[in-house]
Amino acid sequence: MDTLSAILAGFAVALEPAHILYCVVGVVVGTVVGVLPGLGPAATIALLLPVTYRLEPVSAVIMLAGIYYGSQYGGSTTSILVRIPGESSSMVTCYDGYEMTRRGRAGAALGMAAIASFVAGTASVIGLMLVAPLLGRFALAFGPWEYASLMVLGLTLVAYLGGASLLRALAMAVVGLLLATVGQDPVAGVERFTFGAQTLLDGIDLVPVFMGLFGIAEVLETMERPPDQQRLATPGDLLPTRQDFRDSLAPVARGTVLGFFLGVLPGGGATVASIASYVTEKRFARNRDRLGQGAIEGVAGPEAANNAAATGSFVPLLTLGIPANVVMAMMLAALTLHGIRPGPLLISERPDLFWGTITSMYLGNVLLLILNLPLVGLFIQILRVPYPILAPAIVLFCLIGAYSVTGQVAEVLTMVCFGIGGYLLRKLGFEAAPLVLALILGRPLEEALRQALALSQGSFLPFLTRPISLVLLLATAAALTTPLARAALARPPR
Amino acid sequence: MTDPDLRPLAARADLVAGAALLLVALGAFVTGGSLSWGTITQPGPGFFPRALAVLLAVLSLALLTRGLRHPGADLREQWADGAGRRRVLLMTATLLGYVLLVGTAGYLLTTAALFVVMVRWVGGRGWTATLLTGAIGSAGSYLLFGRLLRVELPAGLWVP
Repeated sequence: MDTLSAILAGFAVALEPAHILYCVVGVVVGTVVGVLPGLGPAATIALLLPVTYRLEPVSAVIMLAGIYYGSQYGGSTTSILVRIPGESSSMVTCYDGYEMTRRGRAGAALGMAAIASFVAGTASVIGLMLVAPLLGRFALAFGPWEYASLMVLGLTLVAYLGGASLLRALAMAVVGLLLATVGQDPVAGVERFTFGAQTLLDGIDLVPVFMGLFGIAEVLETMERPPDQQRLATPGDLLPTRQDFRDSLAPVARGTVLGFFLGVLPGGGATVASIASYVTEKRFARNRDRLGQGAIEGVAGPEAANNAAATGSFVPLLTLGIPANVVMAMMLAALTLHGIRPGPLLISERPDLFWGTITSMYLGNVLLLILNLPLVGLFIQILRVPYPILAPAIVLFCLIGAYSVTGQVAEVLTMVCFGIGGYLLRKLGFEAAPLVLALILGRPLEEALRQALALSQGSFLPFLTRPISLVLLLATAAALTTPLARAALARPPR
Repeated sequence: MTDPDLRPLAARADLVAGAALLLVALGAFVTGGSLSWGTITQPGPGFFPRALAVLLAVLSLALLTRGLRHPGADLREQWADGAGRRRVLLMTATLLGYVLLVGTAGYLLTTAALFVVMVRWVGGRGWTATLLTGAIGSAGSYLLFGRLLRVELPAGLWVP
């Protein structure tokens, strides 16, 4: 009953008044950030990094975690109301959520999104408690071969699930890996592709890239439309009906399980999880024929999945020290800033931080449900701000976010370049997600690969003879070749 | 995707992207040429980038092939119309201008200018709204980030 006492101790940490306060701040900020298009949790966490430096580590992590799962609640709001996903993970919620709004059922959609998020968020915290310590022990058996295979699988999955075309997604992933080689090489420290620029010595920073590809590119794309094309729908009934609950039960359960495991895998994360859940519902939901025409399943499933994934993605971060996605990379940066090295030893070295953070998620999810149901009305007011006035504010957030990374204007230039690039990529039908993920995983992947080759004297054989690595590579091969899965998943649902 | 007008654009999407990526791959391979390959037991700094460049070249050739074979395969959207394109270009120029000027002119002035351009010319709002949001936006964000959150913003010419 070691774990039980650890959990109780965790609650004691999470329920300290200061920690409750930071949890509240985190989930409120997260919800707002989730609502605002073009400003995501990764950007926000980057923005708040300098602030958290002044806090003690547990408070900082509790607050930042709150921002992440809080944003999963808020992200659906704009998807449902105006068909603009507040977060990429709420993209698929647009399909049925907005259709529900058009049918005067915005209240039901928003309510179900919050409830599904709550159920999935809470259930996956239990999963996190059960799985994380196990995975932590399991992780000790991981050598460079397993890490490399794991990252290759993660990259393949996100490329596979994340876009309209496998070929394009893979190309984006390779571009991201190439971009990750900019700067000093991780083994010998030799300069690569820096072209004499001082800023590039440490590699390309993630925050400007992310803000450019998502925030700025989004603003540029919106600018194509005439400024007055903003339309708001009024929510009708406030809560989902009994029938809605009945229809949503199975999608929420499926979305939670699917989301949690996809969140645990590196490269998974909330976006992939929500897409996968939508695809699953298209196949299994009771009213699958109505999906896309305002079916509650199309909101409940993906919203459950993205929340479960948000929680699940803490598993690899806390136990392996591997960020599963961009936001977790930011969390890793925050932890490192405080001198904490996440990894297999974290649970035994910092139980207060580990269990305190996890138990604070229970609290956070309850807070979010209480917060989100009545606050829906207020969020609509934010959206009433005309886009021409909202847009410069979004751009400004991105500019400050990029600048605050190192305090150099060069970072802002990087962001603007990636913004323009991201806009062009969108126009050509490319997804930015595989690129960003590859940029994150590039360095650790190269390091693991070179280490593995050095240890095995140049032989690739251990990748196939070590059981865990073999399983991971087989999964990669299956993901790349299974034509059935390709037909089901390679095309985004419409 | 039945609109025949979309066809040539769609063909271009794969072709343009394939060609651009092929250039990136070649560039990376050539630029990375000075880095040592190392040996298979001790891969050098040039090993990973050049392996990736080759992989990217293969993928871009596949894209080019697909673009030639199936014109109109999958393009997500069309480019913007005339007015929309002008707004996007103006916005792009504004962002680049911001980067150029913020170091010398400072945060407050450049940010106010950003708001003015975006609200007045990109957003097409009146001067009252423009100046009001410009003043509130630059001063407010300065107080919030510069003072309250203590982000070191570029000082430049004028900082209170």
